Order: sequence, then structure tokens, then C-alpha cells
Amino acid sequence: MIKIINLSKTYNKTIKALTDVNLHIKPGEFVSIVGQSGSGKSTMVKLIIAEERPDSGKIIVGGWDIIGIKNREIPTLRRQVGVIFQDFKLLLKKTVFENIAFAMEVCGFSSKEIDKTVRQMIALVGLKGKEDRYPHQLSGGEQQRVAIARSLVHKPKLLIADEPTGNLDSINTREIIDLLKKINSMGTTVVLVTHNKDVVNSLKSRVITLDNGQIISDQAEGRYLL
Amino acid sequence: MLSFLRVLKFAVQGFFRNFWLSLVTITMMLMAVISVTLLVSMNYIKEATISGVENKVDILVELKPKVTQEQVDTFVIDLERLSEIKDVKVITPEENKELFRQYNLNSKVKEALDIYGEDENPFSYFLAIKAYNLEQYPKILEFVGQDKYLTLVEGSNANTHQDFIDKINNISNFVNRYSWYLAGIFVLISIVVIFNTIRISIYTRREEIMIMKLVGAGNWFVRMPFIIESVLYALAAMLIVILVIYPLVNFVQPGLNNYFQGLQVIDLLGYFRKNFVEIFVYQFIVLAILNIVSTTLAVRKYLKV
Repeated sequence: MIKIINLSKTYNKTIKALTDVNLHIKPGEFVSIVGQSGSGKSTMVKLIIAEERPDSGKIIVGGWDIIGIKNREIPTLRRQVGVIFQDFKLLLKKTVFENIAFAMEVCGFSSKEIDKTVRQMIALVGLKGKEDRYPHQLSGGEQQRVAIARSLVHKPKLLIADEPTGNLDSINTREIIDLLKKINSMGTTVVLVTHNKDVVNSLKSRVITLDNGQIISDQAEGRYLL
Repeated sequence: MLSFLRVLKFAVQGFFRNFWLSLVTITMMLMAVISVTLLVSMNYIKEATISGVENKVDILVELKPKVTQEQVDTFVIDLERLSEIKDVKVITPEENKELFRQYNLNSKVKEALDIYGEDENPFSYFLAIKAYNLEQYPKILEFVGQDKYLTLVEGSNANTHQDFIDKINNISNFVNRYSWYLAGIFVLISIVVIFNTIRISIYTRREEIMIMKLVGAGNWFVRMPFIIESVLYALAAMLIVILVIYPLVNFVQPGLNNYFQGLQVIDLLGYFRKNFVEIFVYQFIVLAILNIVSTTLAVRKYLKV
């Protein structure tokens, strides 16, 4: 699903965010990428969704080498890779329904199809009855669910969660992680980027540990090492 | 077509859901539009006033007492041949006497007429000459002062009017020349204000633009709602100006008429009605184009996600 080959990224010519990272994530896997703040986790996510460009190396997502991707192809890439963020990144002036529907509207889906799919997603993430609420009327956990629903409307093969529980309490954290596991069980590859030790240890899935921009550990049923 | 309708929907949603931001943006545009409209009004008032004053200026030529009607008619025909002459009005001795009586109704000066009998008239013919513009009076005076008319012309009030005519001329030229500079400065300030207003509005919503890009929206899909919204701002500003200007002018019009009493009526309301397209529609088009350009430039910065 994702192949990363000799990936490097430096900021301002002096800050080495990633150095010669090699990584292969198979379809259907649930992988946690862990590390302390500044280890390069978020940089890796940004490179995968083409928010940044690497200095060297290759990134192949679903068979598509995205290193040479043109600017006009980036929206297409982002529609194929679901991403959720620590700060949810919801459109504050749109309702729950509209936020999720937006991801389909950009692709030109018909209103009928959008209505059907969005309601399915809202049910999947447990937000039925809250379609007309605005983000400020939802809890943190609910906002993150909206973000998850939005990322799933294209039925992506890959979902990247960048610190999705960073702003949530333990109960909401648990709910979000359970939701991600449920999504993974349906066949979607999930890459969870986190520095939450408890979450990682509870998952008992593959754990890749980053430190100072390099992979220092890659364990099939790993634990948080740092 | 579906995408365009969606973009239109987002624009209208954005306009109303960011209500206070929209209101502030429209208010700034309103200031600019009102400035330009006021400038247009002032320009019209200036033109109408100067034109009115120019129309009031004329030369009175007094003819000698024994001049006959036929001589007067011949003189008038000669004058009307001049291209500078707009109008020549003959004031007969009888009319002159009556005018004198009316203007001096309650004055002791009227008693001077009592010296003369009913059949006697001390007044002679007068010619009231109007030119097309003030600069032409000297040529007219030169014509009237020719030797061949010495037996006809007693005198004129040209000397007393000349200074006044020169002053009006100078003021008119000065105002015409510098009003363009003033207008240019006003318009430039308006453009800068509008451009920065749009930039600030987009800056406030930069997070929204970046999120749309991260979710997979193309540049066109992100940019267009903001562009359409900016046109809606222009439309709202123009509609408010129209709704405010007409009643305001209606209210001010009588005051203007009183102030300029005796001169040409300044019909501001009529001027706005007659030039509605030039004043309001063209302003809207220019404002909309300015908004579109400003929005395009402002949004571009945040599309690089």
C-alpha cells in the first residue's frame, strides 16, 4: 500500500526531519508510527499527502509514485488517501452533513449519491441525529468522528490518522481508536501517527518507532519503546 | 453545471454564514462607493453652477436715444451673424420704462419719471447680448465698438462686467483642471481600501481555504466561491448606496434650489435618474472587477497547500 524508499527531508538546510527512511506498509495493515515530538512523524504524513516535497527518495502510494506528482494531481491524491488531523480541520461554517458531503462535492458526485453515502458514514461513526449541528456544537470526540467520516466518503484504501487523539480525553480517545480499528477491519489500511503510549500498547499491532528522523524499531506486535 | 451551482451555493452560504465579516467588508466598500458617488455629485453641481453663472452673464448695450426700430433691427441682424452670439434680446424703450417702474416701485427714484409726461420716454433701446461662453465677450465688444456703429451705440456695461467675467473664467478653468486630480486621488484611495479589505477578509478565512485543499478540492473549486462572494459584496454595496442616495438627494434638493436661487436649477435627482447606468451600473462593474482581481490575488497565497 505504501512504499517509502530512502526518504529524506531537511528544513532550512539544517533541520533534518527525516533521514533515509525505508518503509513498506501492506494493504489492510494497522500500523502505528510512534516517536517523541520532533521525531519526524508529522513530516512523514505531510510528505505522503504531498503537503511537502521531499529532498530525496521515493514514496509509492497504491502503486502511484507521488514524488513527481504535478500540482494539479495533488487533489486527486488527497481524495484517494483519507487523512484525519489532531485539530480536526473541519469547516466551521458548515454543518456535520455539509462537512462530510464537501469531500464528495469536490469530486462532482450527484446530490442523490452524496446524500446516501453521507448518511451511511454518519451512521457508521455514530453521529446520527447530529447532521445539522455545526462543529462548535460538538464535543472534541464528535468533531473527530466527523473528520473520520469525511475521510472515508471516497472509500479510500488508506487512512492516515495524524495524532487524532491529541486533543481528546481518554474516553473519547478510546472511542476514536475503536472506530479506527473497526475501519481497519473493513479492509482499509490504517496508519496511526501518535505519541500516546497507552494507545499504542493497547493495539498490539505493528509499531514503527521514529527517533531523530530515522526508524529505530519496526515490530509486528510492538510496544511503545521510547 | 453541477459544480457551478455548488460553487454558487457555497458563495451564498459563505456570504450569510460569515455575516459579520460580510457586513464589515460591505461597509468598507460602501465608503468607497459613497466617496465616488459624492465626487460625481460634486462634479455635476460644479458644472451646473458654473454653467448657471455663465448663463446669467450678459452684456447690455445701450443705443442712442433717437435710434429707430429699423436701425435696431439691422444692428441685431449684424450681431446675430456672429458665431459667438448665442442670443440677442431687444429691450424697447417702453419695456425699459416699465422695468424701471417695477424695479423702483417703492423708491424715490421713481419720482424722477414724473418729470416726463405719459407720451414722453427718456429711455432708449437696449440690447442684452449673451455669448456661448465667457471667453467670447471681448470679441463681441470689439464688434460693437466698431466705427460704423458709433452713431448707434451709446455705451455698454462691459467694463463693469469684464472683471467678473474674467474671475468666473479663472475659477472655472482652475476647478476643471484640479478636479481631475482630486477625482484621481479619491479613486486611488478607494481602490487601495477595497483591495486591502478583501485581503483581510480572505486572511480571516485562510484556514478554511487550506482545509478545502487538504480534503482534495481543486484550486478552481476553492477559489470560485470566494470570487462570487466578492461580487455579492459589490452588489450589496451598490444596492445600499442606491437605496440611500435617492431619498437623500430628494431631501437635499429643495435646499440646493434655495441656495442657488436665481441661477440654473441644480436637478441632482434628475441627473442621477438620467445617468443611472453610468453612475451606478458602471460603478458596480468596476467594483466587481476590482473585487474579483483582489480575491484572486489574495486566495492564491493560501492555495499552495
